[in-house]
Amino acid sequence: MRMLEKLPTLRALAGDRTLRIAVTGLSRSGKTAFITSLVQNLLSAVGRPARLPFLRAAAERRLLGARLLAPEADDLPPFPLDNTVAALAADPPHWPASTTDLRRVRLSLRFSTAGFLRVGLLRGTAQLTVEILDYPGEWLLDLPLLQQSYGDWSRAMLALARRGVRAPLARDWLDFLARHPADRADNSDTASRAHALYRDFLAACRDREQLSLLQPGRFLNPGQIVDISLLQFCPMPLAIGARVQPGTFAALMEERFEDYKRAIVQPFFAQLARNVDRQIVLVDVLRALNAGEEAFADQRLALDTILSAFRFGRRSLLRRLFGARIDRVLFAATKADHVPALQRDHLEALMANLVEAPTLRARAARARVAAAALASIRCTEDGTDVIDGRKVDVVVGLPEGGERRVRFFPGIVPVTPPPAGFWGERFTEFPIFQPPRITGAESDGIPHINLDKALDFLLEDALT
Amino acid sequence: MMTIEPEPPRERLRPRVLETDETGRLELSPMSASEQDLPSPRTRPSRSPFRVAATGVSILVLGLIGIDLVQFIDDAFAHGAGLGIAAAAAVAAGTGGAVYWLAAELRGLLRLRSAERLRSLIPFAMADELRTEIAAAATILARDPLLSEAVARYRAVREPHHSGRDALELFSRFVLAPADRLAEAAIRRAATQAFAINAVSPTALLDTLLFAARALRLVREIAEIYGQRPGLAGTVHLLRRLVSGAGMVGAVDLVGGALVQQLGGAVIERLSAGAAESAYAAQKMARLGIIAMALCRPVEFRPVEVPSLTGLVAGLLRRAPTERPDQSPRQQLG
Repeated sequence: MRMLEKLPTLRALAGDRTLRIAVTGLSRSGKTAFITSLVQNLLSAVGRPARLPFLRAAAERRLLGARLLAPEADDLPPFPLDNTVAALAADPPHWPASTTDLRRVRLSLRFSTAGFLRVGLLRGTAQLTVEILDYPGEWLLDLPLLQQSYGDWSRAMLALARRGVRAPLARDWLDFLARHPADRADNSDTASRAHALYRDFLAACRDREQLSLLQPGRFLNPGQIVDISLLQFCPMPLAIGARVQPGTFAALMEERFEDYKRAIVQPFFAQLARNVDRQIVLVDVLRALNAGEEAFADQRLALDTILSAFRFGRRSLLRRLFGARIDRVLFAATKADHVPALQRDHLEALMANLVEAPTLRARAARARVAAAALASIRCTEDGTDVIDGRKVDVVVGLPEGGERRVRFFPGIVPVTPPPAGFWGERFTEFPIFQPPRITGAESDGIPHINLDKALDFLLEDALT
Repeated sequence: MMTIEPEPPRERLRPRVLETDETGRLELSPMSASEQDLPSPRTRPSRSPFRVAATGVSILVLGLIGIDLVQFIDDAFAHGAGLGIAAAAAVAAGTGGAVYWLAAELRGLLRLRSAERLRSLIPFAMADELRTEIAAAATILARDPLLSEAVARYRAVREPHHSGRDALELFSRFVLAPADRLAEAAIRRAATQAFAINAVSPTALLDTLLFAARALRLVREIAEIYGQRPGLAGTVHLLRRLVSGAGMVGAVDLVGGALVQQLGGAVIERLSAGAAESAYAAQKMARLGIIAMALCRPVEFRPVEVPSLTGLVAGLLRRAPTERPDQSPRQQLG
C-alpha cells in the first residue's frame, strides 16, 4: 500500500514534470485575480509572447502550447476560470468573486527545451504541468494551530485581544467570558454564544481595523463545513500548566478545538503543503500601510505566523521521495498599479524588508527567495498632479461603479518598515478601480504589471 | 552675529484621491513604441594646435586639388567641347564618390560617438531618463538590418508602465543578448584563426602582420554587430580607444593569467612550445574581442553579462550547431 502511495512520486522522478505552486496570501490579497491572470496570460503567451516579455520561455518563443487540464476523477473542484474571466469580460467589467472554498487549476505547457538540451539526443519538446491551488486566505491562519495546544493558543489570543485597537472591540466577548468561568459545567448554548461573540470580534478587527492575524480563519470564512458544531469554540482564560477538568466549559472548548484541527485544518494542510514545489506569497502591503501602524505590524506578524508552517529547502531526489520542500519563494506586494512607476521599486524593497525573517529562514534552508511588486490585473495608468504646490506622480483609473476617472496619490511608500514618526491619520478610502475589460478569448491575455517576472522566477528552470 | 533659521520640514504628503472630469475606461492594451529621434551628439570644439594645423593643411590640399581639377577641365575644353564634357563628368563622379565616402565616414563616426555617449550616460541615468536613453540606443541598433528585427521585438514588448530598469532589462534580453552571441561567435572564429595563423606562419613578422590584420577585422566585425559600421575614421577611433583602454586590458589580463595558470598544469605542459604559443595567440585574440565588445556595446556590460574568456577559448573546439565558420554574422542571421 505504501509503495502504491509512492507511485506518483516515482513517476514524477522518471520524467513527468509537474510543478505545484502554492499561492499563499491573506484575505483580499488578490489570489483569485492572480490565478486568473496567470492562467489567462499563459494561455495567451503562445500566440502573443509580448504579453509576458520577462518570462524567458515566452520571450524566446519556446512556449509551443498551453491548455487547461480537465479535473481528475478524485479531484478537488476546479477553479472557476470561466466565471472569473466572464466577470472581467462583462460590460462593465467587475472583479471576480473571492474564493469561498478550496479549488484547483491545472495547466499543461508544451515548450521547446533550451540550453544544452537543444543539442544531442535530448533535443526536442517537453511538457510541464503547473498545478495551482486557490482557497480563502483566512484559512492559512489556521496552519500554525497544528503546532499549538488549546491552552497555548488561548493565552496567545487573549493577550492579543487585550492590546491596542483590539481591546475595545473585544469588550463584549471578554465580559461574557468573565461571567462564564472556564471551570463551570459545560453547556453547548453558552459555548455557541461565546463563539458568536468571538467571531463578531474577529469580523470587527478585519472590517474596522484592517487587522490580519485573526484565528481561526474559518470563523470568518467557513467554506463548506458539514458539521458546523466543529466551529463552536473560542479561546478561554487558562493558567499556564493548569489541567482542564473533564466536564467543564473549558474542556468542551478544548475538545472542539482539537476536533477542528483534526477534521478541518489537518486535511487542508495536507492538500496545500503536500508536494508543493514553489510558493508565491501575495501581500497587500499598501492597504496595511495606509491602515495604520497596528494594521501594518499585525500583517507582518500574520505573515511570520503563516510562513512558519511551510518547509523550505533545496530540491533533491531524496527529498522528493520523503516529502517535497519549497525550493523557491516569491514574496509579492500586490496592487502595484496603485502606485506610480517610480514608487514600485520602493514597494518591492518594502516587501523584501517586511519578510526579512522568513527570507532568512528560507535562505538558510538553501531555497531561493525574491521579492516583487506586481499587479495581476492592471487597472491604472501613470500620471502627474500638483498637490500643495508639489508636482507628484499619481495613478489614474476609473473607480468601480463610477463614471469619472480619479487620480490616486498613494503617499510616499517607504523602503523599510516605517518608524513611529511616519504614521499619521489612517487612510482607508482606498479606491477600488474597475478592472480592464478583456475579450475573454484565450489568445488575448490580461494587462498586468510584473506578472511575467513572477512567472519567470517560479517557472524559469522548469521551462528550460 | 548671524543666525541661520532652519527651514521647517515639509509635511509628508498623505494619500488622497483627486476627482477629475475625465470619463471612460482606460485603454490598457500594449502600445507600439514610437520611433524616437536619436539625440544629437554633443560636439566639443577643439582648439588643439594639431587639429588647427591639420584643418589648415586639409584646406590647402583640397584647394590645390580643386584648382588642379578646374584647370584639368579647362584644358579638356580647350581641346574640344566633347572632351571637356567628359572630363567634367569624370570629375563630378570622382567628387561625388569622395563626398559619399566622407559622408559615410562622418556618419559612422557620429554613430560611434552617439553610442559612446549613451554608454557613459546610462549607468547614471535616473529612472525616467533611462527609458529615453534606452530608446535612443534602440534607435542606433535598429538602423542595422542585423538587429532591426531584435529591436522591433523589443519595442513590441515595451509598455508604458515599464520602469527604466525594466526597459534596460528587456533591451539586454531582446537586443543585446542576441548581439552578444553573434559577437562571441565572431570572437571564437577569430581566435581559431589566430591559433592557426600562429601555428603555420613561417616568420614572426608575418605572424604579427597576419594577427594584426585579423584583429582589425574582428574589431570591425564586432562594431558592425553592435550597429556601428565604422568607416576608416571610425576604425581608427575604435583602435585608439582599444589601445587607451589600459585598465580594461589589465583586468582581462588578470583573467587571462588565471586561465593560463589553470591550463598550464592540465594542458599546456603536455603541448609542445609551439602549440602553447598558438593557444596563447588565440587567447589574446579572444581577449581583444571581449574588449572590443565592451567598447562597442551601447550599454555597458553588467557583471553577469561579461563573456568568460575561459568559456570562449575553451569553446574553440565546440561550435554551436547553427554557427558556420565560413559565414559572417550578417550571413548567419540572414
